[in-house]
Amino acid sequence: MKATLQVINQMVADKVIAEYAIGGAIGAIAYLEPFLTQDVDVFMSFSTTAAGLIVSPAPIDDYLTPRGYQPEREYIRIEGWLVQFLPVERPLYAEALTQAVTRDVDGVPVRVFSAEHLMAIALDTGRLKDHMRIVQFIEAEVFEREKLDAILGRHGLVDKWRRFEQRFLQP
Amino acid sequence: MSDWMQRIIESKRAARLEFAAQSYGEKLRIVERLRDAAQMFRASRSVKPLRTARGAK
Repeated sequence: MKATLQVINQMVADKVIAEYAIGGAIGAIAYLEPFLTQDVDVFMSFSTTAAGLIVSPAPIDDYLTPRGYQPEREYIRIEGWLVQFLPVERPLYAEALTQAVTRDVDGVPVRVFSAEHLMAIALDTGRLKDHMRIVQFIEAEVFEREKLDAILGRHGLVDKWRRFEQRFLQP
Repeated sequence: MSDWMQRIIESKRAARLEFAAQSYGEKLRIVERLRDAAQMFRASRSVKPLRTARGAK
């Protein structure tokens, strides 16, 4: 994984992508106990050029393929890991990207979504496994309730949270 | 809930929190080992048993 993260950091240094943060399961594992997952979700914004914002994934393929990293379905395999590059489009994800935190992986700095944004995104996505992950965050007590409440309020998720609480947190 | 059951739950919770408190790098190494084990398991399940030469012409 360290080698995978180094490649992603180099993509930022080489201005292929502007900024990134790890989300999904690998992001959650920064805060929770480790669990099985097969892929790495890299949320990112593209670099801007004189011509404007780049929104095509072509620069990613153009950068990685000559370096021996091949596409596999919707992923690119980088140093053994299936990596999915996901451009941020919705405000919740854009905010999560700008407010990401830096973690250390054996000397490699890596940007990761905050615990509160991971919880809000899981709530927004709303599958059973996402709800289970929120429960894990609550059990682990690795988030700030005020910060989470503010995110839920800003992104119209308060009602969803109430329904989640009724379904999963009521005795 | 009995005290005995409560102690078991608390003990398991403490173990999970201790696990979660490891460094990100260490946790990612564990995920890698889990992934590799899952791949090996899947590979072993997808290989059909070799047929013997009994029916071969």
